Amino acid sequence: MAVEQEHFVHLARPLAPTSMGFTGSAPLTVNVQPQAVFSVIDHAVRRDTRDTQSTRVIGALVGTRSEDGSEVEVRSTFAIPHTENEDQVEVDVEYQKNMLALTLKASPRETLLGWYTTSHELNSFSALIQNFFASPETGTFPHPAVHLTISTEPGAPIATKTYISAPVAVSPDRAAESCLFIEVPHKLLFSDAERAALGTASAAAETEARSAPVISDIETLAQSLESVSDLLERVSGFVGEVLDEERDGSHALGQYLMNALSLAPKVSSTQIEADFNNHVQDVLMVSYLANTIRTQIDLAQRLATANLVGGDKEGGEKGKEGEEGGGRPGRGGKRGGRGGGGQRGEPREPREPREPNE
Amino acid sequence: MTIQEGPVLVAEVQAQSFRNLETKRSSAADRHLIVSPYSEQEHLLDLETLDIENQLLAIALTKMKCLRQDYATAPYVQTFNWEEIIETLQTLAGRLNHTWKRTSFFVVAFRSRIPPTTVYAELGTLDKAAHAEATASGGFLKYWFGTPDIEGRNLATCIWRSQDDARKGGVGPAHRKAAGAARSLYTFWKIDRFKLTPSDTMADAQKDVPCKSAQVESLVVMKIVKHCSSSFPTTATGSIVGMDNNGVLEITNTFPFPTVDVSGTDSHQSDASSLAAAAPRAKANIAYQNEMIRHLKEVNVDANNVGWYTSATMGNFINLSFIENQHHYQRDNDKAVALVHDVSRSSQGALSLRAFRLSPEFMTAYKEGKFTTESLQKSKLTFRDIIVEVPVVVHNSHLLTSFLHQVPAPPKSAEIPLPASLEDIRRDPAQPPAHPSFDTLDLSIDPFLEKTCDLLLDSIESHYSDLNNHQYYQRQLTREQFKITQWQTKRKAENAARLAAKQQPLPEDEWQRLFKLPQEPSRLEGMLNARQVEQYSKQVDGFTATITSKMFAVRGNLLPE
Repeated sequence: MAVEQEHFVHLARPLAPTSMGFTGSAPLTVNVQPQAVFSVIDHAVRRDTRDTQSTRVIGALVGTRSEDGSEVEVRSTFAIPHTENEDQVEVDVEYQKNMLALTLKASPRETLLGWYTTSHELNSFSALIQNFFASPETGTFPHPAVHLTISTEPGAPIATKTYISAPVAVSPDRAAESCLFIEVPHKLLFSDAERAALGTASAAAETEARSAPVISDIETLAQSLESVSDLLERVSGFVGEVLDEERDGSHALGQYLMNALSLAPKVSSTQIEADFNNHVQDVLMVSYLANTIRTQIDLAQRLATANLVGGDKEGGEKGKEGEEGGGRPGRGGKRGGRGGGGQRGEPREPREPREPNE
Repeated sequence: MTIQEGPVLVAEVQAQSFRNLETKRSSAADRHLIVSPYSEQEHLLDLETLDIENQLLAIALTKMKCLRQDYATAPYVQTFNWEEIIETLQTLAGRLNHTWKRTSFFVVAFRSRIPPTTVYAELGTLDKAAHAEATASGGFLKYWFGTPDIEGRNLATCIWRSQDDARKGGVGPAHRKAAGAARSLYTFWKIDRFKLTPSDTMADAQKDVPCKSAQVESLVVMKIVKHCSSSFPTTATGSIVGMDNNGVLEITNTFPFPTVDVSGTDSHQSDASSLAAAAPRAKANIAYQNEMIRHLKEVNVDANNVGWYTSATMGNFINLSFIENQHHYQRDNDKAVALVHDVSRSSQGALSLRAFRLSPEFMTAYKEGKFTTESLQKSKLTFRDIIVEVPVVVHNSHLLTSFLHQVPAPPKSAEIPLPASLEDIRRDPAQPPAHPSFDTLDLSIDPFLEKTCDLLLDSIESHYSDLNNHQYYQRQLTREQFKITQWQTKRKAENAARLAAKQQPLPEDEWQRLFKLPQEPSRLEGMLNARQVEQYSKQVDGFTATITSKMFAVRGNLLPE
C-alpha cells in the first residue's frame, strides 16, 4: 500500500563518473518503509538542543537495492551524532562506521543507501556530507547515495523529499563540497504485515493522551463494524439526498455503486444455510475440543502434584504415594497413575483424529 | 553518581558533624551540614533551604552506616542502619517538639562494576563536580559510597528530597559528563530507586511496584513487526531498551539480534528457529547488545535494557527457551519484560503484541531449579503462576502523531468534486484510514482452525511423552524400591542367622550405597505445556467469539428474513 506519492516526471538520473562500467542512467525509485520514517522522527524528537546550534539531525539510511540498482527500499535508519555551526560541520565518522557494522550484522542482506536529515534545506554542508556518503571508500559508490529530507517544523505538515546527486564544481579543489541535488520520486510503502501495527499507532494518534491499549480481537471487530456502518450510512444518506433532488447525482458514482451491489453473490438459501451450519459447527467443535483438552491437562497437572492419600501403603518416598497407588496394577496403570486424568482421557482419543477434518 | 576509591573516615567525620549540629543547632553560622565524604564548601548542604522534615532527616542521615561487608550485592534495605536513623529522627523530632508530617524521600542506589583497568582518580574528580552541582540544585540530602570489592563491584547511594529534585540535580553538565564517563568506565551498572517513608513508628523502604504496564512507542511496534514478519516463519528475537517510570515501563527503542548464518546448512529451518530463540542469552549477543546500547546512548536514546522480544505463531511461544530467556533478563533487571508479537494473529487484522514477565514465585522456584512433585506441593506453584501478562499500551510522540494524521493524506478541500467517470474512481481510489482497519472483517475460518488443531495435537503429544517419562520413572522407582526391600529382608535374615551364630551383625544401611534411586524428571515441561494449552484454548475462544458474529452477520445479509 503506497500511501504517499508525489506526481512529477522523473526521466533519468545523472551519469556519475564510474570506473567499473556501471551504466546507471535508469530512473531511480525510492521506497521508504514506515519504520524508517518513524525512527527518523524519533531521532528528531531526541535531538540534543543543548550544546549544538544545529537544528537538524542526521543519520544513515539502510536497506536493500534491486539488482539493477533502479529501485531502493529504505528499511531502517540509525542516528549519527554531529555538530554543525556557521563555518564547520563535524560528523562522527567512527560512530557511523561502528553502527553500520552493528546494523549489518543483524541484517546481513541490507546495505548502506544514503543519509537523512530533518530539514529541507540543502546547503554546502549537505553537499559535503552527501559526497562522504557517495564516496567509494565510505559510501555507496558506484550506486548513488540517496538523501532523504523530512521536515520536522512544529506546526507544519511533515513532508519528505528524496534526492540523489551529481558531481558539479567550478574547480577540482571545490569538488568535495559541492554537488547537484536532483530530486527523485519516492513512495511510503506499507506492507500488509504493518497494517495492523499502523492501525494501532493511528488509534493512539487519535486520542488525547497519544496512547492506546492493544485491544482484543472482538473490540477491534466492533470498531471496524461501527465504522463500516457509518460509511454505509453516509452512502445511503448521499443516495437519499440525490433521490430527493437535494443535490446533484453523479453518473460515475451511481455506476460504481451499482457495480458494487451486483457483487453480492447469488446463492440458494439452502446452500447458504448448509454452509453456515457446517462452518459454525466446525468452529464450535474446535472451541469445545480445545477447552476439553485444557480441562484434561489442567486436571492431569493437579493430580500430578496433588497430595493423594489412600494408596500410600508402601510409601517409600514422600509425596509419591498417589502415583504409586495407581501405578501398581502394572501396564494398565500407565494412565491410572495420573489418577482420574487417565480415565477421563480415554474418551478423548477417538475424538482426536476428527479434529483435522474440521 | 560515580564512585571514588578511598574510605575517607566517613563515620568519624559524620559523627563529629552530628555532634556539632546537635549542640549548636541554634547558631546560624552552622547551617551547613556535611552530607558526604567530601567536605569542601560546595559540597555542604545548606539546611536553611529545607523544610523541617528534610532538615531532620538530613541530620539523622549523618548517622547512616553501612552494616554489611557485601553491600555491593546485598539487598538495599538490609545494607544500612535504617532503624537507627529512624530512631535518631524520632529523638530529634521529639526534642524540637515537632509532629512529624508523613513525608516521602527519594532514594537512588547505584550498583556498579568496574574493570581493573579503570583509573579511580578520574572518576573522583568527575564525581566531585557532579556532587557540587547536585548540592547547588538543592534537595540533595545524603551521598554515600563504598569501595569496590575484589571483583570491582560497588554501591553508591543518594537520598533526595523528592524525585523532582533528583531529576533536576541530574541534568547539569557535570552530571552528564560523569554519566558519560560511567558508560565507558564500567562493565556493568544498575540504578535502583526506592521510596523512603518514615512514618511515626517505622520506616518502610519499599521498592517501587514492579511494572504495572508496558508503554511501547510506535517506533518499537513497527520495528518489531517488521523484523518478525520479514523472518517469518523463523523465530525472530531482539532486544528492547527504555526506562522504568513509576511502574510504567517505557519501551522506546529496539534492535534485532544478529541472525546466525545457517546458509551452509540451509533447509534446516527449525535449526535457525531454535538458534534465534536461544539468541537472547547467547554470549555473543550479550556483547552485541551492550555494544549497541552504548551506541544508542550517544544519540540520546533511553538506553537501559528492559527485556527482549520474540515472534510467535498462533501463540506457541510458551516453552523452555522462552522461560530461560526471560529468566536471564529478569534476573538482572527485575522489571524486564518479554514482548511477544504474534505474526499469524496480527495478519488477521488486529495487532497482537503482548508483554509477559515471570512471576516472582516462579523466579524463586526456577532459581532452585527443582520442579519435583514434592517441591511443587510445598510451593503451591501451578502452571497458571508461571508467567504474568502485563498490559501493553502503544504511545506516540507529538511529532509522530502529527505525521500519522497525514497518513493517508486528508482530502485537500472539504467538498470533493464528484468524479466524472468510473475511471476517475479507479485511478484515484479512496484511501481507507489505517484505523479502524477493515482487515478484521475478513471471513477466513479454515486456516485458523487447522493450525489450532495441529498445535493442540502437538501439545497432547508432548503431554503424553511427559506422562510416559513420569510413568517410566515411576516404574523404575518401584523396581528399585522392591530391590531394596528384598535386600533389606535378606540382610535381616542374614543378621538373624549371624546373631544366632553369635557373630557381629552386618550394617543394615548399606543399601543406600548399593542402590541408586532414579531422579524424578522435572515437572516444568509439563507445566509449560499446560500453560500453552490454556493459551491455545483462550485464543480459540476469542476466535470463536469474533468469527461466529461475523458468520451470523453474513447469513443475515444473504438470507434476509
